[in-house]
Amino acid sequence: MPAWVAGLAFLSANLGAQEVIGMAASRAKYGIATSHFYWLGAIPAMVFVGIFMMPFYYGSKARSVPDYLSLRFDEKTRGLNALTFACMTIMSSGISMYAMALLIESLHIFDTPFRLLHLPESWVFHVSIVLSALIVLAYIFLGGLTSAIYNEVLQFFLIVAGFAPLVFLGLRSVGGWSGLKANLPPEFIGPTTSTNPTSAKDKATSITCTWRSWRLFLASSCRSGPPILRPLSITLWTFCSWCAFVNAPLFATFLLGMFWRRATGHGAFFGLLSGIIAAAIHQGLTLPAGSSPGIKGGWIAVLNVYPSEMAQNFWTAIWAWTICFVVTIIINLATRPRPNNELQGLVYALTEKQRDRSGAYYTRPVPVGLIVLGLTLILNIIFF
Amino acid sequence: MGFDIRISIGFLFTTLGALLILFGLLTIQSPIYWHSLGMNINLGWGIILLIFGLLMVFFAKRSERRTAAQQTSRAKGVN
Repeated sequence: MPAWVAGLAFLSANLGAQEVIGMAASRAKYGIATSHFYWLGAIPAMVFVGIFMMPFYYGSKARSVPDYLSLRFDEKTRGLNALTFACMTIMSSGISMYAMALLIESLHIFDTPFRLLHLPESWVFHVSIVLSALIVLAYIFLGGLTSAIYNEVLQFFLIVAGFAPLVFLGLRSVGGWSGLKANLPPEFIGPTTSTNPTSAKDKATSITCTWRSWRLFLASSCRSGPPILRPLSITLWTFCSWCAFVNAPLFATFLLGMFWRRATGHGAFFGLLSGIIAAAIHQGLTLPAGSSPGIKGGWIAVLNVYPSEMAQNFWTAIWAWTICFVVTIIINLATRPRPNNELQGLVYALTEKQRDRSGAYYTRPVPVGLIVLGLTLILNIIFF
Repeated sequence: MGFDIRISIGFLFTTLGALLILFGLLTIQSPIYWHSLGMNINLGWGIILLIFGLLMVFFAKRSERRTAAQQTSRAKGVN
């Protein structure tokens, strides 16, 4: 498989409905601070993965995260991670399909065929969900991971082709970058300290122009639509809270497993478990501002109210990570570590470093990673 | 590697571009374009997508020819 295909597939795996739709909705709520999902979050994390974690994957011949966990720790850690990850995947695919069905419904794509077939219009939503699930099922069944990768590449180009004219027209209609700045409240573009959503009218400015051009690009005869945005901002929220539950403790387990040879299977398992439980308890004890106790938190008692959903998610993740980290260390110290010869290729200190100095600088991970980090830093400075 | 994704991308975008151009041509002077600041965005973007699609097909075909040429020269070298 050519490198550009694999690279674009990775790129577009991060361009799903949750990101494309959720990010737009989240930006309407939080402003450009949303970019810090990438500028503070994903980009440094990816560089870390590329430089430190890929050699492990090659060295240990692990093919997935649960696979690595079973090689490094034991079956119960792998099982727990596989289970939580499966839950997260089901949830997040559910959100993706829900968001997509909402879009199809509000763009009225299936209205005419449904009318011709004398089917009720209320079915459009459900048919969209089932249809998308069947299409994905069919190509995964036939081609497996390869078909998923090639499909991602195709989608990457489709997403770019769909959004490029949208951005162009949106920016043009608002009067370029300076016009956009003038039309938005300052905290949307400048300092990222404010987490308070501003008035609905301001939100609408940036979004309606985007939505208007989105609809015209499809040249469909849409009725006006933007109320759709509110349910859509939930997509990213749900996704993030699941990440806080599942991925934050996993990250602590991974770090300890990779860099500390004393880390044991018992420590990893109970650390992971207590991290997930800590996330649940934190979520149950806190509430984002403006929502009532229930799904979004506070189902045990409301001890603390955060200014926004994202602040709550972030603290959930911090709690989950810390608890997992501490519990894993305590249990590790109490249990017997595996002998060094069993950990070869699984722990950083015991893995032969692959030094690749032969190629040009842009083919080696470390220089490329540093360049990417530098560019990210510049973006952070500009929009601090 | 027998499968080249560029062929699929190329044909998909050539088709999409052609469709958009056709639609753009049929709707010249149509009031739907008040949304897009009076620009016939279907026509313009259709042309860009068509060019992109054709370029993809071109590059795929070129690399196909090159691999074929390499194989024949290697076969000759063996003989």
